[in-house]
Amino acid sequence: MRMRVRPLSIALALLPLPVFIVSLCIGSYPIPPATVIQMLLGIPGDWPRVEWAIVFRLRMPRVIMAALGGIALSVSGASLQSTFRNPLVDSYILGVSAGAAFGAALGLGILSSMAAAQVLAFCMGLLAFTLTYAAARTRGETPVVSLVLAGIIITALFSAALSTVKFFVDPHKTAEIVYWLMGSFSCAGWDDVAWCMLPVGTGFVLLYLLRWRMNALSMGDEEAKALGVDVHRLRFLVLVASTLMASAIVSTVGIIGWVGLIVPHSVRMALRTPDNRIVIPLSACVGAAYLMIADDFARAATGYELPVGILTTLSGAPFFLYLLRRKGVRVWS
Amino acid sequence: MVLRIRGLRFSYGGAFTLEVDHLRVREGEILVLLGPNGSGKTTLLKCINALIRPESGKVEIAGRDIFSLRRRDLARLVGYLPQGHVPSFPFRVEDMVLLGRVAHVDPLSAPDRSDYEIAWSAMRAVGIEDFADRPYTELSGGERQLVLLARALAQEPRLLLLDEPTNHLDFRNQALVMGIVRKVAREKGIGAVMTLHDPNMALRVADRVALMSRGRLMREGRPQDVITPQTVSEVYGVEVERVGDGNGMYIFPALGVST
Repeated sequence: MRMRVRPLSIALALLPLPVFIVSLCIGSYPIPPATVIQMLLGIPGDWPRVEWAIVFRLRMPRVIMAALGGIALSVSGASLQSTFRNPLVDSYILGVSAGAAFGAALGLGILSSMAAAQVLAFCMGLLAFTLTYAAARTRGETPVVSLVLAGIIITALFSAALSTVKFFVDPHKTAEIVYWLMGSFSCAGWDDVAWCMLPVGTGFVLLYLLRWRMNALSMGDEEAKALGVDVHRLRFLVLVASTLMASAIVSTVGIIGWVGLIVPHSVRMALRTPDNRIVIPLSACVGAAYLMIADDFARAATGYELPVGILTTLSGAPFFLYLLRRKGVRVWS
Repeated sequence: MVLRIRGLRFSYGGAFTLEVDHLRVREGEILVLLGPNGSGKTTLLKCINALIRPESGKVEIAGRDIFSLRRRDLARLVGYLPQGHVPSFPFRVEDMVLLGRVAHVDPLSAPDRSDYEIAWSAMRAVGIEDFADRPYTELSGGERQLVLLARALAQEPRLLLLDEPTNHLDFRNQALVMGIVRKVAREKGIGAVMTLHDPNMALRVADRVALMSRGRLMREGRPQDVITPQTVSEVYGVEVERVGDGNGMYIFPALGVST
Protein backbone atom coordinates (compact mmCIF):
# COMPACT_ATOMS: atom_id res chain seq x y z
CA MET A 1 0.00 0.00 0.00
CA ARG A 2 2.99 2.31 -0.34
CA MET A 3 4.55 3.66 -3.49
CA ARG A 4 6.28 0.75 -5.16
CA VAL A 5 9.59 1.25 -6.89
CA ARG A 6 9.63 -0.74 -10.09
CA PRO A 7 12.72 -2.06 -11.88
CA LEU A 8 11.80 0.01 -14.94
CA SER A 9 11.82 3.18 -12.83
CA ILE A 10 15.27 2.38 -11.52
CA ALA A 11 16.55 1.66 -15.03
CA LEU A 12 15.17 4.97 -16.33
CA ALA A 13 16.56 6.85 -13.35
CA LEU A 14 20.06 5.49 -13.99
CA LEU A 15 19.89 5.97 -17.77
CA PRO A 16 21.61 9.41 -17.90
CA LEU A 17 24.85 8.04 -16.41
CA PRO A 18 25.92 5.66 -19.22
CA VAL A 19 24.58 8.09 -21.82
CA PHE A 20 26.73 10.84 -20.27
CA ILE A 21 29.86 8.70 -20.49
CA VAL A 22 29.20 7.52 -24.04
CA SER A 23 28.43 11.11 -25.11
CA LEU A 24 31.85 12.21 -23.91
CA CYS A 25 33.42 9.59 -26.22
CA ILE A 26 31.49 10.52 -29.35
CA GLY A 27 32.58 13.20 -31.80
CA SER A 28 34.88 13.92 -34.73
CA TYR A 29 37.77 12.88 -32.46
CA PRO A 30 36.53 9.64 -30.83
CA ILE A 31 37.96 8.81 -27.42
CA PRO A 32 37.72 5.27 -25.98
CA PRO A 33 35.25 4.85 -23.08
CA ALA A 34 37.95 3.35 -20.85
CA THR A 35 39.99 6.53 -21.17
CA VAL A 36 36.98 8.73 -20.44
CA ILE A 37 36.07 6.73 -17.35
CA GLN A 38 39.67 6.90 -16.16
CA MET A 39 39.67 10.67 -16.64
CA LEU A 40 36.35 11.07 -14.82
CA LEU A 41 37.53 9.01 -11.86
CA GLY A 42 40.80 10.95 -11.73
CA ILE A 43 42.94 7.86 -12.27
CA PRO A 44 46.31 8.89 -13.78
CA GLY A 45 46.91 7.63 -17.32
CA ASP A 46 49.08 8.33 -20.34
CA TRP A 47 46.54 9.89 -22.71
CA PRO A 48 47.56 12.87 -24.89
CA ARG A 49 46.85 16.30 -23.35
CA VAL A 50 44.59 17.11 -26.28
CA GLU A 51 42.19 14.31 -25.31
CA TRP A 52 41.90 15.70 -21.80
CA ALA A 53 41.14 19.13 -23.26
CA ILE A 54 38.53 17.72 -25.64
CA VAL A 55 36.72 15.88 -22.86
CA PHE A 56 36.81 18.58 -20.19
CA ARG A 57 36.95 21.84 -22.18
CA LEU A 58 34.80 21.04 -25.20
CA ARG A 59 32.61 18.02 -24.78
CA MET A 60 31.69 18.02 -21.11
CA PRO A 61 30.10 21.50 -20.99
CA ARG A 62 28.23 20.68 -24.18
CA VAL A 63 26.95 17.34 -22.88
CA ILE A 64 26.00 18.86 -19.51
CA MET A 65 24.22 21.65 -21.34
CA ALA A 66 22.24 19.07 -23.33
CA ALA A 67 21.35 17.27 -20.10
CA LEU A 68 20.25 20.53 -18.46
CA GLY A 69 18.18 21.34 -21.53
CA GLY A 70 16.49 17.95 -21.41
CA ILE A 71 15.73 18.31 -17.72
CA ALA A 72 14.37 21.85 -18.09
CA LEU A 73 12.17 21.22 -21.12
CA SER A 74 10.83 17.85 -19.93
CA VAL A 75 10.08 18.85 -16.36
CA SER A 76 8.46 22.14 -17.33
CA GLY A 77 6.44 20.33 -20.02
CA ALA A 78 5.23 17.68 -17.55
CA SER A 79 4.29 20.33 -14.99
CA LEU A 80 2.40 22.50 -17.44
CA GLN A 81 0.50 19.54 -18.92
CA SER A 82 -0.70 18.66 -15.45
CA THR A 83 -1.52 22.26 -14.56
CA PHE A 84 -3.40 22.93 -17.78
CA ARG A 85 -5.12 19.51 -17.83
CA ASN A 86 -3.98 19.37 -21.43
CA PRO A 87 -1.64 16.83 -23.06
CA LEU A 88 -0.59 19.12 -25.92
CA VAL A 89 0.96 21.85 -23.84
CA ASP A 90 4.66 22.50 -23.32
CA SER A 91 6.81 25.30 -21.96
CA TYR A 92 6.31 27.34 -25.14
CA ILE A 93 2.55 27.75 -24.61
CA LEU A 94 2.94 30.94 -22.57
CA GLY A 95 4.90 32.84 -25.22
CA VAL A 96 8.33 32.08 -23.77
CA SER A 97 9.88 30.85 -27.03
CA ALA A 98 8.52 33.71 -29.13
CA GLY A 99 9.70 36.25 -26.57
CA ALA A 100 13.14 34.65 -26.36
CA ALA A 101 13.42 34.46 -30.16
CA PHE A 102 12.66 38.16 -30.43
CA GLY A 103 15.21 38.97 -27.71
CA ALA A 104 17.87 36.90 -29.45
CA ALA A 105 17.10 38.57 -32.79
CA LEU A 106 17.54 41.99 -31.19
CA GLY A 107 20.86 40.94 -29.70
CA LEU A 108 22.23 39.28 -32.84
CA GLY A 109 20.72 41.56 -35.43
CA ILE A 110 21.03 45.00 -33.88
CA LEU A 111 23.66 44.74 -31.13
CA SER A 112 25.65 42.05 -33.00
CA SER A 113 26.58 40.35 -29.77
CA MET A 114 26.11 36.74 -28.69
CA ALA A 115 26.20 37.70 -25.01
CA ALA A 116 23.60 40.42 -25.49
CA ALA A 117 21.44 37.96 -27.41
CA GLN A 118 21.54 35.54 -24.48
CA VAL A 119 20.63 38.14 -21.86
CA LEU A 120 17.94 39.73 -24.03
CA ALA A 121 16.46 36.34 -24.95
CA PHE A 122 16.21 35.37 -21.29
CA CYS A 123 14.63 38.70 -20.31
CA MET A 124 12.21 38.70 -23.24
CA GLY A 125 11.16 35.14 -22.44
CA LEU A 126 10.29 36.24 -18.90
CA LEU A 127 8.63 39.41 -20.22
CA ALA A 128 6.46 37.40 -22.63
CA PHE A 129 5.32 35.19 -19.75
CA THR A 130 4.61 38.24 -17.56
CA LEU A 131 2.49 39.80 -20.30
CA THR A 132 0.60 36.54 -20.86
CA TYR A 133 -0.07 36.17 -17.15
CA ALA A 134 -1.15 39.80 -16.75
CA ALA A 135 -3.44 39.57 -19.78
CA ALA A 136 -5.08 36.40 -18.46
CA ARG A 137 -5.69 37.72 -14.98
CA THR A 138 -9.23 38.78 -14.21
CA ARG A 139 -10.63 39.52 -10.76
CA GLY A 140 -7.73 37.88 -8.99
CA GLU A 141 -8.10 34.62 -10.92
CA THR A 142 -6.17 33.23 -13.87
CA PRO A 143 -8.40 30.67 -15.60
CA VAL A 144 -6.63 28.08 -17.76
CA VAL A 145 -8.56 29.05 -20.89
CA SER A 146 -7.57 32.71 -20.51
CA LEU A 147 -3.93 31.71 -20.06
CA VAL A 148 -3.94 29.64 -23.25
CA LEU A 149 -5.63 32.41 -25.26
CA ALA A 150 -3.35 35.11 -23.84
CA GLY A 151 -0.35 32.88 -24.64
CA ILE A 152 -1.41 32.60 -28.26
CA ILE A 153 -1.88 36.37 -28.55
CA ILE A 154 1.47 37.23 -26.93
CA THR A 155 3.21 34.61 -29.10
CA ALA A 156 1.71 36.22 -32.21
CA LEU A 157 2.85 39.68 -31.12
CA PHE A 158 6.42 38.60 -30.46
CA SER A 159 6.54 36.60 -33.71
CA ALA A 160 5.53 39.72 -35.63
CA ALA A 161 8.20 41.70 -33.77
CA LEU A 162 10.74 39.01 -34.68
CA SER A 163 9.75 39.19 -38.36
CA THR A 164 10.18 42.96 -38.23
CA VAL A 165 13.75 42.60 -36.97
CA LYS A 166 14.52 39.94 -39.60
CA PHE A 167 13.09 42.19 -42.30
CA PHE A 168 15.20 45.22 -41.42
CA VAL A 169 18.62 43.73 -40.64
CA ASP A 170 20.98 42.67 -43.42
CA PRO A 171 20.63 39.12 -44.85
CA HIS A 172 23.78 37.75 -43.18
CA LYS A 173 22.37 38.63 -39.79
CA THR A 174 19.00 37.21 -40.76
CA ALA A 175 20.78 33.94 -41.55
CA GLU A 176 22.47 34.05 -38.15
CA ILE A 177 19.12 34.59 -36.44
CA VAL A 178 17.49 31.76 -38.37
CA TYR A 179 20.33 29.40 -37.46
CA TRP A 180 19.99 30.39 -33.81
CA LEU A 181 16.27 29.67 -33.91
CA MET A 182 16.92 26.09 -34.99
CA GLY A 183 18.65 25.34 -31.70
CA SER A 184 22.11 23.90 -31.21
CA PHE A 185 24.50 22.93 -28.43
CA SER A 186 27.59 23.38 -30.62
CA CYS A 187 28.73 26.62 -28.97
CA ALA A 188 27.90 25.65 -25.39
CA GLY A 189 30.74 26.22 -22.93
CA TRP A 190 31.24 26.20 -19.19
CA ASP A 191 30.03 29.82 -18.95
CA ASP A 192 26.73 28.73 -20.50
CA VAL A 193 26.39 25.91 -18.00
CA ALA A 194 27.00 28.42 -15.23
CA TRP A 195 24.40 30.79 -16.70
CA CYS A 196 21.72 28.07 -16.79
CA MET A 197 22.53 26.34 -13.52
CA LEU A 198 20.75 28.78 -11.19
CA PRO A 199 17.42 29.22 -13.06
CA VAL A 200 17.20 25.55 -14.07
CA GLY A 201 18.24 24.36 -10.62
CA THR A 202 15.79 26.67 -8.84
CA GLY A 203 12.94 25.74 -11.15
CA PHE A 204 13.63 22.04 -10.83
CA VAL A 205 13.83 22.05 -7.03
CA LEU A 206 10.58 23.99 -6.80
CA LEU A 207 8.69 21.74 -9.22
CA TYR A 208 10.12 18.64 -7.56
CA LEU A 209 8.86 19.82 -4.17
CA LEU A 210 5.42 20.62 -5.60
CA ARG A 211 5.19 17.36 -7.57
CA TRP A 212 2.43 15.74 -5.52
CA ARG A 213 0.29 18.89 -5.19
CA MET A 214 0.32 19.23 -8.97
CA ASN A 215 -1.81 16.08 -9.08
CA ALA A 216 -4.53 18.04 -7.30
CA LEU A 217 -4.29 20.84 -9.87
CA SER A 218 -5.12 18.40 -12.64
CA MET A 219 -8.51 17.79 -10.97
CA GLY A 220 -9.60 21.26 -12.12
CA ASP A 221 -9.69 24.50 -10.15
CA GLU A 222 -12.85 23.99 -8.16
CA GLU A 223 -12.00 20.49 -6.96
CA ALA A 224 -8.43 21.49 -6.20
CA LYS A 225 -9.75 24.31 -4.02
CA ALA A 226 -12.16 21.97 -2.25
CA LEU A 227 -9.21 19.65 -1.55
CA GLY A 228 -7.41 22.52 0.17
CA VAL A 229 -5.12 23.87 -2.54
CA ASP A 230 -4.51 27.60 -2.93
CA VAL A 231 -4.98 27.19 -6.69
CA HIS A 232 -4.00 30.70 -7.69
CA ARG A 233 -0.69 30.62 -5.83
CA LEU A 234 0.24 27.05 -6.73
CA ARG A 235 -0.37 27.63 -10.42
CA PHE A 236 1.66 30.85 -10.28
CA LEU A 237 4.60 29.01 -8.72
CA VAL A 238 4.44 26.24 -11.33
CA LEU A 239 4.29 28.74 -14.19
CA VAL A 240 7.16 30.84 -12.84
CA ALA A 241 9.36 27.79 -12.23
CA SER A 242 8.63 26.40 -15.71
CA THR A 243 9.26 29.75 -17.37
CA LEU A 244 12.57 30.26 -15.55
CA MET A 245 13.83 26.89 -16.72
CA ALA A 246 12.66 27.20 -20.30
CA SER A 247 13.85 30.81 -20.73
CA ALA A 248 17.33 29.98 -19.49
CA ILE A 249 17.66 27.06 -21.91
CA VAL A 250 16.12 28.80 -24.91
CA SER A 251 18.30 31.88 -24.37
CA THR A 252 21.41 29.69 -24.42
CA VAL A 253 20.80 27.07 -27.10
CA GLY A 254 17.87 28.35 -29.11
CA ILE A 255 14.49 26.71 -29.63
CA ILE A 256 14.43 22.95 -29.23
CA GLY A 257 10.96 21.61 -29.85
CA TRP A 258 8.96 18.53 -28.88
CA VAL A 259 11.12 17.46 -25.93
CA GLY A 260 8.59 18.81 -23.44
CA LEU A 261 5.84 16.85 -25.15
CA ILE A 262 7.27 13.44 -25.89
CA VAL A 263 9.39 12.87 -22.79
CA PRO A 264 6.62 13.28 -20.17
CA HIS A 265 4.19 11.29 -22.33
CA SER A 266 6.67 8.45 -22.81
CA VAL A 267 7.25 8.32 -19.05
CA ARG A 268 3.50 8.27 -18.34
CA MET A 269 2.96 5.50 -20.88
CA ALA A 270 5.95 3.38 -19.91
CA LEU A 271 5.10 3.46 -16.22
CA ARG A 272 1.34 3.62 -16.75
CA THR A 273 0.76 6.40 -14.29
CA PRO A 274 0.12 10.15 -14.47
CA ASP A 275 1.29 10.55 -10.84
CA ASN A 276 3.69 13.51 -10.84
CA ARG A 277 5.61 12.03 -7.92
CA ILE A 278 6.93 9.61 -10.56
CA VAL A 279 6.52 11.64 -13.75
CA ILE A 280 8.51 14.71 -12.62
CA PRO A 281 11.73 13.02 -11.47
CA LEU A 282 11.75 10.44 -14.26
CA SER A 283 11.01 13.05 -16.93
CA ALA A 284 14.16 14.81 -15.74
CA CYS A 285 16.22 11.62 -16.17
CA VAL A 286 14.72 10.55 -19.50
CA GLY A 287 14.80 14.13 -20.83
CA ALA A 288 18.48 14.49 -19.95
CA ALA A 289 19.33 11.19 -21.66
CA TYR A 290 17.18 12.00 -24.70
CA LEU A 291 18.79 15.36 -25.44
CA MET A 292 22.30 14.04 -24.82
CA ILE A 293 21.64 11.30 -27.39
CA ALA A 294 20.02 13.76 -29.83
CA ASP A 295 23.09 15.98 -29.53
CA ASP A 296 25.38 13.00 -30.15
CA PHE A 297 23.60 12.52 -33.46
CA ALA A 298 23.75 16.24 -34.18
CA ARG A 299 27.54 16.32 -33.98
CA ALA A 300 28.51 12.83 -35.14
CA ALA A 301 25.89 11.53 -37.57
CA THR A 302 27.16 13.57 -40.51
CA GLY A 303 30.38 15.40 -41.33
CA TYR A 304 29.01 18.68 -40.07
CA GLU A 305 26.91 20.03 -37.19
CA LEU A 306 23.16 19.55 -37.53
CA PRO A 307 20.87 21.84 -35.51
CA VAL A 308 19.60 19.61 -32.70
CA GLY A 309 16.19 21.34 -32.80
CA ILE A 310 15.60 19.85 -36.23
CA LEU A 311 16.51 16.36 -34.98
CA THR A 312 14.19 16.53 -31.97
CA THR A 313 11.32 17.63 -34.16
CA LEU A 314 12.05 15.05 -36.86
CA SER A 315 12.16 12.26 -34.28
CA GLY A 316 9.62 13.73 -31.87
CA ALA A 317 6.68 14.43 -34.12
CA PRO A 318 6.35 10.90 -35.63
CA PHE A 319 7.03 9.31 -32.24
CA PHE A 320 4.27 11.40 -30.71
CA LEU A 321 1.93 10.31 -33.48
CA TYR A 322 2.82 6.69 -32.73
CA LEU A 323 2.16 7.21 -29.01
CA LEU A 324 -1.23 8.74 -29.66
CA ARG A 325 -2.32 5.99 -32.02
CA ARG A 326 -1.05 3.05 -30.03
CA LYS A 327 -3.96 0.88 -29.04
CA GLY A 328 -4.86 -0.08 -25.51
CA VAL A 329 -2.75 2.54 -23.78
CA ARG A 330 -4.35 5.75 -22.69
CA VAL A 331 -2.69 8.56 -20.82
CA TRP A 332 -5.60 10.82 -21.47
CA SER A 333 -9.33 10.36 -21.34
CA MET B 1 -23.46 22.39 15.76
CA VAL B 2 -21.38 21.56 12.67
CA LEU B 3 -22.87 24.13 10.34
CA ARG B 4 -24.54 27.42 11.14
CA ILE B 5 -25.66 29.86 8.45
CA ARG B 6 -27.06 33.30 9.19
CA GLY B 7 -28.31 36.01 6.86
CA LEU B 8 -26.65 34.56 3.76
CA ARG B 9 -27.16 36.52 0.55
CA PHE B 10 -25.61 35.85 -2.84
CA SER B 11 -26.59 37.10 -6.27
CA TYR B 12 -25.49 36.39 -9.81
CA GLY B 13 -25.52 39.89 -11.24
CA GLY B 14 -29.08 40.64 -10.13
CA ALA B 15 -30.67 37.89 -12.23
CA PHE B 16 -30.75 35.40 -9.39
CA THR B 17 -30.53 35.94 -5.66
CA LEU B 18 -29.97 33.31 -3.00
CA GLU B 19 -31.20 34.25 0.45
CA VAL B 20 -30.92 31.93 3.41
CA ASP B 21 -31.69 33.55 6.76
CA HIS B 22 -31.04 30.64 8.98
CA LEU B 23 -29.84 27.07 8.56
CA ARG B 24 -28.14 24.62 10.91
CA VAL B 25 -26.77 21.10 10.75
CA ARG B 26 -25.85 19.06 13.81
CA GLU B 27 -23.17 16.38 14.20
CA GLY B 28 -24.21 13.19 12.42
CA GLU B 29 -27.22 14.82 10.85
CA ILE B 30 -28.15 14.62 7.16
CA LEU B 31 -29.78 17.67 5.66
CA VAL B 32 -31.21 17.26 2.18
CA LEU B 33 -31.71 20.27 -0.09
CA LEU B 34 -34.65 19.64 -2.36
CA GLY B 35 -35.95 21.86 -5.11
CA PRO B 36 -36.29 22.28 -8.85
CA ASN B 37 -33.39 23.05 -11.20
CA GLY B 38 -32.18 26.60 -10.69
CA SER B 39 -33.60 26.91 -7.17
CA GLY B 40 -30.14 27.62 -5.73
CA LYS B 41 -29.15 24.26 -4.20
CA THR B 42 -25.71 24.08 -5.80
CA THR B 43 -25.11 27.79 -5.20
CA LEU B 44 -25.81 27.26 -1.52
CA LEU B 45 -23.38 24.31 -1.38
CA LYS B 46 -20.69 26.42 -3.04
CA CYS B 47 -21.23 29.22 -0.52
CA ILE B 48 -20.82 26.71 2.32
CA ASN B 49 -17.47 25.65 0.82
CA ALA B 50 -16.35 29.25 0.09
CA LEU B 51 -16.05 28.37 -3.60
CA ILE B 52 -18.10 31.50 -4.17
CA ARG B 53 -18.25 34.43 -1.81
CA PRO B 54 -21.64 35.77 -0.70
CA GLU B 55 -22.30 39.50 -0.47
CA SER B 56 -23.33 39.23 3.13
CA GLY B 57 -24.02 36.73 5.85
CA LYS B 58 -22.12 34.32 8.01
CA VAL B 59 -21.23 30.69 7.51
CA GLU B 60 -19.66 28.89 10.45
CA ILE B 61 -18.37 25.34 10.37
CA ALA B 62 -17.49 23.78 13.71
CA GLY B 63 -17.72 27.30 15.12
CA ARG B 64 -15.27 28.89 12.70
CA ASP B 65 -16.09 31.60 10.16
CA ILE B 66 -15.23 29.94 6.84
CA PHE B 67 -14.48 33.13 4.93
CA SER B 68 -11.60 33.97 7.24
CA LEU B 69 -10.05 30.51 6.93
CA ARG B 70 -7.29 29.54 4.51
CA ARG B 71 -8.31 26.97 1.88
CA ARG B 72 -6.11 24.43 3.57
CA ASP B 73 -7.79 24.85 6.96
CA LEU B 74 -11.26 24.85 5.41
CA ALA B 75 -10.54 21.60 3.54
CA ARG B 76 -9.81 19.94 6.88
CA LEU B 77 -13.37 20.76 7.95
CA VAL B 78 -15.34 20.21 4.74
CA GLY B 79 -15.28 17.35 2.23
CA TYR B 80 -16.91 18.06 -1.12
CA LEU B 81 -18.39 15.69 -3.67
CA PRO B 82 -18.70 17.77 -6.84
CA GLN B 83 -21.37 17.41 -9.44
CA GLY B 84 -20.04 16.49 -12.88
CA HIS B 85 -16.42 15.67 -12.14
CA VAL B 86 -14.44 15.86 -15.39
CA PRO B 87 -11.64 13.26 -15.47
CA SER B 88 -8.30 14.28 -16.91
CA PHE B 89 -5.38 11.93 -16.37
CA PRO B 90 -6.05 8.25 -15.55
CA PHE B 91 -4.90 8.31 -11.93
CA ARG B 92 -5.07 5.03 -10.04
CA VAL B 93 -7.92 4.82 -7.52
CA GLU B 94 -5.49 4.83 -4.61
CA ASP B 95 -3.77 7.99 -5.90
CA MET B 96 -7.16 9.69 -6.34
CA VAL B 97 -8.25 8.93 -2.78
CA LEU B 98 -4.83 9.99 -1.49
CA LEU B 99 -5.52 13.49 -2.86
CA GLY B 100 -7.99 13.85 0.01
CA ARG B 101 -4.88 14.28 2.18
CA VAL B 102 -3.68 17.44 0.40
CA ALA B 103 -4.90 19.70 3.19
CA HIS B 104 -3.14 17.57 5.81
CA VAL B 105 0.23 17.13 4.12
CA ASP B 106 2.91 19.80 4.41
CA PRO B 107 2.78 22.02 1.26
CA LEU B 108 6.26 21.08 0.01
CA SER B 109 6.01 17.44 0.88
CA ALA B 110 4.37 14.18 -0.20
CA PRO B 111 1.99 11.87 1.69
CA ASP B 112 3.57 9.47 4.19
CA ARG B 113 2.54 6.12 5.66
CA SER B 114 -0.16 7.56 7.92
CA ASP B 115 -1.77 9.32 4.94
CA TYR B 116 -1.84 6.02 3.05
CA GLU B 117 -3.47 4.36 6.06
CA ILE B 118 -6.19 7.02 6.23
CA ALA B 119 -6.78 6.78 2.47
CA TRP B 120 -7.10 3.01 2.77
CA SER B 121 -9.57 3.19 5.63
CA ALA B 122 -11.63 5.63 3.52
CA MET B 123 -11.50 3.15 0.63
CA ARG B 124 -12.60 0.35 2.94
CA ALA B 125 -15.44 2.50 4.31
CA VAL B 126 -16.94 2.78 0.82
CA GLY B 127 -15.85 -0.71 -0.27
CA ILE B 128 -13.50 0.11 -3.15
CA GLU B 129 -10.25 -1.33 -1.79
CA ASP B 130 -10.41 -4.13 -4.39
CA PHE B 131 -9.78 -1.77 -7.26
CA ALA B 132 -7.16 0.42 -5.65
CA ASP B 133 -4.78 -0.26 -8.53
CA ARG B 134 -7.16 0.42 -11.40
CA PRO B 135 -7.24 3.71 -13.32
CA TYR B 136 -10.33 5.47 -12.02
CA THR B 137 -11.13 6.67 -15.54
CA GLU B 138 -11.95 3.08 -16.48
CA LEU B 139 -14.52 2.65 -13.72
CA SER B 140 -18.29 2.89 -14.12
CA GLY B 141 -20.12 6.05 -13.08
CA GLY B 142 -21.21 4.48 -9.80
CA GLU B 143 -17.74 3.25 -8.88
CA ARG B 144 -16.26 6.61 -9.78
CA GLN B 145 -18.71 8.33 -7.46
CA LEU B 146 -17.54 6.01 -4.68
CA VAL B 147 -13.93 6.99 -5.39
CA LEU B 148 -14.80 10.67 -5.06
CA LEU B 149 -16.72 9.93 -1.87
CA ALA B 150 -13.71 8.08 -0.44
CA ARG B 151 -11.51 11.03 -1.38
CA ALA B 152 -13.85 13.39 0.52
CA LEU B 153 -13.77 11.04 3.54
CA ALA B 154 -9.96 10.94 3.44
CA GLN B 155 -10.10 14.68 4.17
CA GLU B 156 -11.39 13.63 7.63
CA PRO B 157 -14.04 16.35 7.46
CA ARG B 158 -16.58 17.46 10.06
CA LEU B 159 -19.05 18.24 7.29
CA LEU B 160 -19.70 16.56 3.94
CA LEU B 161 -21.18 18.48 1.04
CA LEU B 162 -22.64 16.27 -1.69
CA ASP B 163 -23.92 17.79 -4.90
CA GLU B 164 -26.44 15.42 -6.46
CA PRO B 165 -24.53 12.31 -5.38
CA THR B 166 -27.09 9.97 -6.94
CA ASN B 167 -27.07 11.57 -10.38
CA HIS B 168 -26.51 9.12 -13.25
CA LEU B 169 -26.38 6.20 -10.82
CA ASP B 170 -28.47 3.08 -11.25
CA PHE B 171 -30.99 1.82 -8.70
CA ARG B 172 -28.46 -0.22 -6.73
CA ASN B 173 -25.66 2.34 -6.75
CA GLN B 174 -28.02 5.06 -5.53
CA ALA B 175 -28.87 2.93 -2.53
CA LEU B 176 -25.20 2.07 -2.02
CA VAL B 177 -24.02 5.69 -1.98
CA MET B 178 -26.87 6.80 0.28
CA GLY B 179 -26.22 3.91 2.64
CA ILE B 180 -22.55 4.83 2.96
CA VAL B 181 -23.33 8.48 3.61
CA ARG B 182 -25.78 7.55 6.33
CA LYS B 183 -23.33 5.11 7.88
CA VAL B 184 -20.41 7.56 8.08
CA ALA B 185 -22.73 10.27 9.36
CA ARG B 186 -23.95 8.03 12.17
CA GLU B 187 -20.65 6.38 13.03
CA LYS B 188 -18.29 9.32 12.75
CA GLY B 189 -20.68 12.11 13.64
CA ILE B 190 -20.05 13.85 10.34
CA GLY B 191 -22.73 16.30 9.31
CA ALA B 192 -23.90 16.10 5.70
CA VAL B 193 -25.63 18.52 3.36
CA MET B 194 -26.69 17.04 0.04
CA THR B 195 -28.79 18.03 -2.88
CA LEU B 196 -31.19 15.47 -4.32
CA HIS B 197 -33.77 15.37 -7.08
CA ASP B 198 -35.96 12.60 -5.76
CA PRO B 199 -38.32 13.51 -2.86
CA ASN B 200 -38.71 9.82 -2.04
CA MET B 201 -34.97 9.36 -1.61
CA ALA B 202 -35.04 12.43 0.64
CA LEU B 203 -37.80 10.77 2.71
CA ARG B 204 -35.59 7.70 3.05
CA VAL B 205 -32.25 9.25 4.03
CA ALA B 206 -32.80 12.76 5.38
CA ASP B 207 -32.92 13.72 9.02
CA ARG B 208 -34.11 17.10 7.90
CA VAL B 209 -35.13 18.53 4.56
CA ALA B 210 -34.95 22.08 3.23
CA LEU B 211 -37.26 22.73 0.34
CA MET B 212 -35.90 25.45 -1.95
CA SER B 213 -37.48 27.53 -4.64
CA ARG B 214 -36.12 30.57 -6.50
CA GLY B 215 -33.20 31.05 -4.15
CA ARG B 216 -35.22 30.81 -0.93
CA LEU B 217 -35.90 28.21 1.72
CA MET B 218 -39.65 27.56 1.46
CA ARG B 219 -39.84 25.07 4.28
CA GLU B 220 -37.40 23.31 6.52
CA GLY B 221 -37.87 20.54 9.03
CA ARG B 222 -38.52 16.82 9.40
CA PRO B 223 -38.88 15.04 6.05
CA GLN B 224 -42.47 13.89 6.54
CA ASP B 225 -43.51 17.43 7.53
CA VAL B 226 -41.75 19.17 4.67
CA ILE B 227 -42.39 16.71 1.87
CA THR B 228 -46.13 16.61 1.34
CA PRO B 229 -48.12 16.40 -1.89
CA GLN B 230 -49.03 20.08 -1.43
CA THR B 231 -45.50 21.43 -0.92
CA VAL B 232 -43.94 19.29 -3.63
CA SER B 233 -46.68 20.16 -6.08
CA GLU B 234 -46.31 23.86 -5.28
CA VAL B 235 -42.50 24.01 -5.54
CA TYR B 236 -42.07 21.79 -8.59
CA GLY B 237 -45.21 22.97 -10.36
CA VAL B 238 -46.43 19.47 -11.07
CA GLU B 239 -49.45 17.47 -9.95
CA VAL B 240 -48.50 14.65 -7.60
CA GLU B 241 -50.12 11.55 -6.23
CA ARG B 242 -49.39 10.06 -2.86
CA VAL B 243 -49.10 6.33 -2.46
CA GLY B 244 -49.36 4.98 1.08
CA ASP B 245 -49.08 7.14 4.21
CA GLY B 246 -46.84 7.86 7.19
CA ASN B 247 -43.37 6.37 6.85
CA GLY B 248 -44.50 4.29 3.91
CA MET B 249 -45.38 7.34 1.89
CA TYR B 250 -44.23 7.82 -1.69
CA ILE B 251 -44.85 10.68 -4.01
CA PHE B 252 -45.07 10.31 -7.75
CA PRO B 253 -45.64 12.96 -10.35
CA ALA B 254 -48.81 12.60 -12.33
CA LEU B 255 -47.63 12.04 -15.87
CA GLY B 256 -48.37 14.65 -18.48
CA VAL B 257 -47.80 18.36 -18.74
CA SER B 258 -49.16 20.64 -16.08
CA THR B 259 -48.48 24.13 -14.86
